[in-house]
Amino acid sequence: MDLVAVNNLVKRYNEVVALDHFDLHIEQGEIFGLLGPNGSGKTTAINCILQLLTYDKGTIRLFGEPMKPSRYDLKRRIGVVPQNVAVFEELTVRENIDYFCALYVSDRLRRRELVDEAVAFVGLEDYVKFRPRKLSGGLLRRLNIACGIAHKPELVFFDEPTVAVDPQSRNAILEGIEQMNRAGSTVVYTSHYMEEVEEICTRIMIMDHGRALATGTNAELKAMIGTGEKIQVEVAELAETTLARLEALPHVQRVLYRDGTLEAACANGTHNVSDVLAVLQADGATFGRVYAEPPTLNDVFLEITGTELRD
Amino acid sequence: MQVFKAALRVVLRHPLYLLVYAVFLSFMGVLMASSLPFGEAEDAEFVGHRTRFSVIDRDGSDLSQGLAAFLGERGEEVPLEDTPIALQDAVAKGQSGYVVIVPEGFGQALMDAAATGGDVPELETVYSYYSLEGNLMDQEVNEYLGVARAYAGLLPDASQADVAAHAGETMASSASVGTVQLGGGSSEAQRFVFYLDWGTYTLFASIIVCVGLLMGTINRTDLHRRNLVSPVPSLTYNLQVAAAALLVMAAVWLWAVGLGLVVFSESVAQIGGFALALMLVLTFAFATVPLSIGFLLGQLGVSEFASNAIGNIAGMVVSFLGGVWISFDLLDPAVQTVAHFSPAYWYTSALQKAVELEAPTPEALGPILGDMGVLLLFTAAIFAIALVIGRVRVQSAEAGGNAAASRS
Repeated sequence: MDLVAVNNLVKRYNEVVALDHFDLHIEQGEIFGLLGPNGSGKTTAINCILQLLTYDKGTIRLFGEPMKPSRYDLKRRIGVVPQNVAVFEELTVRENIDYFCALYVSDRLRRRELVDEAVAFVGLEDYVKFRPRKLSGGLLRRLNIACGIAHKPELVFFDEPTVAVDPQSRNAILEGIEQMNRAGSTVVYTSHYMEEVEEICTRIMIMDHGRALATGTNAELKAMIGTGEKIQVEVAELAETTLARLEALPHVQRVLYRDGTLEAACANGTHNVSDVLAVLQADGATFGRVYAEPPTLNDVFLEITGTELRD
Repeated sequence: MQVFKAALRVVLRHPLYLLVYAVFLSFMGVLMASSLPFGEAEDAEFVGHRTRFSVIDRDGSDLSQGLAAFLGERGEEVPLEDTPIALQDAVAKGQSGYVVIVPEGFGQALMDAAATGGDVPELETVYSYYSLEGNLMDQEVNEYLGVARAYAGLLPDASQADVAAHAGETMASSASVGTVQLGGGSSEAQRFVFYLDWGTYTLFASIIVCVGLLMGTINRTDLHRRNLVSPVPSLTYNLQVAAAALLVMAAVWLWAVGLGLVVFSESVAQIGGFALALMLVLTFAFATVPLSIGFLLGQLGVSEFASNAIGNIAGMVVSFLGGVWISFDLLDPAVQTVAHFSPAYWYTSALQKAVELEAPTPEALGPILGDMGVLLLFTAAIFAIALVIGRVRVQSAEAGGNAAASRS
């Protein structure tokens, strides 16, 4: 059963189409990544699913039930970690977590346990009596997460939780999300950081201009594109004729030379690197370090949309 | 009750606001009401101010002595030696508020001037530019000399002594002055009324700032959206926020009124039980106006700093228009007209009627309840505006576009 089922969703802001016949299906137990540049419609999609936004067309079902603003029974099973840190400046770390947990759990004893667990989960044990303004950016993000997940939701939406977070806190956040998933929560994770999505998501949707462009596992997405290998060679100078000869090689799809680095996107082949180096040698080009790596999600995005992932 | 508790915590975590606005302003009201002379002037005779003056008489004529005698009727003479040092000291040390030096031959010169139609000879006078009493004394001296000159002109055969006597008699006549107690009831009771009038400032500033802070925090877009995705129904959520705001208002009201009741117990004792209850209800009704303004500020998403500024300025303006700073009767007619659009006008007006209430008859209660109705209309109108703004804000994409949630 799909835990989240969005069909044919259309959302317009006057003339701008934010979601264009958008479909989304997420199964129980997944960490589902919504990947797209800023303004691609990720947050709008989540806001529509959470009924924070009206929409012009389409259906949304959560846990097999139609989602409506008054479906408090469904909302009780959901957790949300918003993009911006949304906590009370006047309350301490513990009071904040307790407040948001209390919106879902009325039993005080149970709540105390949950709050303790959430505090431990995000590693804020030493800061429970601190007010948010005393916390660093990374700790604030962790508090933001604790407020969204303290009630142990079955379905959690993380909307770009690692924006402006230091690498250490970022790793802690990603580990925490995987841990939650292992504990049984289904996670919807939006980001425009491809590495994060690649690292933790079991399935990924690439979206842009309000449309789902491709959906699949990391490997499935990479298999969708023709690029099998990306070769980078440090070359001091490169003649136009050499570039043309490289482009003419049978497995080479495209070449690009900029800032002293040659980039060649190749289809799957057994001796792509040696072919490229042979051309450079033959033309007398002096080259330094050579890298060959499989395609990234950025390459997938580039090939599908024809543009770089905007930041 | 979690929302209710959190909302109250938001206010309580800003104790300085409660201290500065509710406590300090209330004590300021106590100080002001205590310092005013309610209940003391009733039945008392008017006593004019007596200026300390000195006369340096270098003339020694009947006319100069008449002038000194006239001044003696109006003030307290301070003997002064006719030396430069003594004159300087008198002015510098404030021993005398007005010094007049009558030059030699002044009396005869005045008589001659009257006979020939010439100018009155000038006197040398010393008083501070900042001294109102010295200035007023000088005007009286000029008036005396003008009268004396007129008599000397009209009665050419009169001696200086006759002229001085006539001038003294004429100047002795003055308008009778007495004190009139405005309004009914005990004037001491007016002390408590004044304290409650001052409460317009206390209540306005305190409640606007505290409720504005509470509503502004709760309505912060990101927090509001987080609440909207929770399973707490919007109605329950809003009722808890409203209850917290109402409790803040009631606490400020209780503090302000309670302090007045305790400190001015003597004044309160002179007000009838029904009238007193009515006054407290009126104050509570008035407190709902700043409550609605705080709610409006919250809906507008006004910052904490702006709430402070608005609370203070609105408090001062409204209390001014209610006649707290300057008696309403002394305000310019145009300002009085404008004051009708201020809730403080209806509040202070109703308070005055309530304290004068002798019996709770429909005729007596009608105007008071009418004024209270106007007060509550202010509250209702501001709440209605706030609700409209809130709805527009909820529906705007900039605010997060949470229109869907409002459908629930």
